[in-house]
Amino acid sequence: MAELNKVTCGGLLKGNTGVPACYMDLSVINGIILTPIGYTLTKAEIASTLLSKLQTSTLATRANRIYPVLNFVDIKDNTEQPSYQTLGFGRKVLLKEGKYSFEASYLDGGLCLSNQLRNFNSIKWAAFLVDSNGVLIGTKVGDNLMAIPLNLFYAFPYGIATSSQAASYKLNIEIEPKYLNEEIGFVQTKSEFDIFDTVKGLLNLVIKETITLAAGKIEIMVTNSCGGDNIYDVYGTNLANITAWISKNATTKNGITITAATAVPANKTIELTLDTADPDYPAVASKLTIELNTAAILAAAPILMVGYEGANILTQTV
Amino acid sequence: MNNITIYGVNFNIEWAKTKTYKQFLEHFKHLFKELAEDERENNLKKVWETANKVEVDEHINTQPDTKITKYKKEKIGKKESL
Repeated sequence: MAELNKVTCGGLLKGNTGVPACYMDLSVINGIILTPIGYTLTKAEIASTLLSKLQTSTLATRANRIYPVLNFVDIKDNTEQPSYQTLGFGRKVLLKEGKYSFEASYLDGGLCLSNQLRNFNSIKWAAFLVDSNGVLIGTKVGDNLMAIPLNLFYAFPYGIATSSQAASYKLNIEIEPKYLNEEIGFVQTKSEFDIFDTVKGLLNLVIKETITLAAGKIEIMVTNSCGGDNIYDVYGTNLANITAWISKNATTKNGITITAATAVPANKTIELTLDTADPDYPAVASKLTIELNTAAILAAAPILMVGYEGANILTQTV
Repeated sequence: MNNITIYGVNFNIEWAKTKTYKQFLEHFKHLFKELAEDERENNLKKVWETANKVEVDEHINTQPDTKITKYKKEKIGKKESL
């Protein structure tokens, strides 16, 4: 309760200096998982469904999706030193603590991942840090673990290769000190699962028509957005599935029934047959769209393409 | 009901339920062209039969626009007569 002319001074109410036999000693940060601000793992999820919660969240819609970047190869600590003022007689006064800042380097994914990560610049994110022992580090909120709100996430432009140095890919993270100290929360995952191998980000797929829409039929090639390689040889059978696809009237956005999906081995493409009698099928000279279904649908049975998301929407004129 | 795949073609079973056999054949006239005509039609027939849980009567099959009431009764289904 506030009182007039009363100053509240700090008192030592909690701290002690005994040394426990078993304690948390965080190792080198090997990766981060970017999340929307406020993303939280509940006590129940941590206890029984942590891996599936994380995996499901990588496939979620954008508002709830998490983005693992768990392949750091080096880390450089750029954390600010505390700021002091030295007074006239030599005594120092602490002005402010420094903020955590580190520069992480990664190699796998190269320029492709670098350009994907640059899409995250200039947006407010939260993140879990993951140390080399698989400890998931966030901030404790009650019995839950919340991702740490970041002051800064910045993916650098790639560093050009030289005769003595490979191309470099780096990102910068800045965090308020309280989140990794008084308010730290962590979960040891190593004994449950290998977070580095089991929680992965999505890869973008690009669809392109190889035979344009005619009489309700269209032939489509599906390629990796990185490298542009056709994924038919690996996923042709999976993609020859109606559930993998969505067609809509471009004007009304109403769905158009896809009646068949056919693998075309000769062209390494997928042929879709649409119901031209569907009331939402556009009139001649009007447009319809075709896209891949959501990452969660692609990952589930019967398609079972885990870790992919369509990156574009085809528009076709009837 | 799940969609079914025959010869690499995944068919929309829910949609097939809404079509007569003739409409179904007409819609997919572009499929299985590499197969002999009878094999092509057998494949499509199997899909339509699966969707509609009836067997196309071989005699009526020559008149594929016949209404569903003229198809044979289902072998394993619940309907006693059609």
